Amino acid sequence: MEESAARMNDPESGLVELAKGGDDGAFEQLVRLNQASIRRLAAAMLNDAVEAEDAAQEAFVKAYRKLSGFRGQSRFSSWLYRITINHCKNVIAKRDRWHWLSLESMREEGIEPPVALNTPEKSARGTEAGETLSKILAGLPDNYRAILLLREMKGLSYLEISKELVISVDGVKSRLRRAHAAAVEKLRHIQQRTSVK
Amino acid sequence: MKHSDAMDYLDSFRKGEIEPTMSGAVRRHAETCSKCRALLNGMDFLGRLMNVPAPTGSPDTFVRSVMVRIKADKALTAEMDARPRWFIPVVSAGLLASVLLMAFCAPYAFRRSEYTSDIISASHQDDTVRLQLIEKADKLTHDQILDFLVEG
Repeated sequence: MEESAARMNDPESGLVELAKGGDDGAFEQLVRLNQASIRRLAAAMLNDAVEAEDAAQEAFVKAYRKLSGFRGQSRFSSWLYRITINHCKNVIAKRDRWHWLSLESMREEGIEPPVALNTPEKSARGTEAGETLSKILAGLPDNYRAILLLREMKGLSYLEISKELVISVDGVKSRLRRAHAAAVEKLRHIQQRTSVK
Repeated sequence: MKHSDAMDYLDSFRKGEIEPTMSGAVRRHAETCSKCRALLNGMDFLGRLMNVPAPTGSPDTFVRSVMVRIKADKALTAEMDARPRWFIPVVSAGLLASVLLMAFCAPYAFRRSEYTSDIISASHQDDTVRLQLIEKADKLTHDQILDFLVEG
């Protein structure tokens, strides 16, 4: 009920309809409204400014391609978060493959890789943090993910979130509490699995 | 403070958004409650993972770049759509036929190269034999050529 009310009051839904009808100006507005949060999300997941900008742009291009399939069952921004998270996961997977290949080929050529590449701190810190974040976010329901991003990434207050999601402040508090609990539980699982390996 | 009340305030406590008296009560509870401490630590860790500085590049440049990409993507899609329906099947069939033809011709080409080496050997014999061999090379098997050369 709350979700459908939020969707009805979603200021972006009108722009989405226009964009679906082929209005590129409307889509440009959607990019403008969402660019900051999507760029921050990509930066948090990839920990590399250049890659993050590229990934954020690509996420919007993918959203444009898939726009006709967007049924409006969630907010446009939630849908966009999901596309960005999936795209960033692919980027991380590719980066891991290339990193491994480049180290292997350097060793085969008898070249000792530079310390910055060879030690885990520089290469894996960002990747591991991004992977952890992507696993946590990907495993959460849309409404939990959206509220966490608004609170932790955008730093919005309860009142601002309540306006954004069109729910009461008490609703924000309880949803945020459940979202935090679910995210921390996922984090605990990931850390347990990592320590077992 | 009761555990359920403390749970309600953990997020705002962490962000320093509650009054000092309430904050003190939550802190005291967290010191004795392992569940709340674990949740607070997890929330802090999560907050650090998600706390990235705002992008420095201009939003206008970003929006322009996205729209340029979309335009290029649309042009590419239009080009793909403009190709007749038969284009991909015909090109694929052509490629397949080329591969099959090459596979079929390879043994023949190999045989021809064997003939050539025999003809070169035959050039040490007399010219008539060599000319006869060149004329017949296409129609003979390798063994027949060898027989022909032996018999002269």
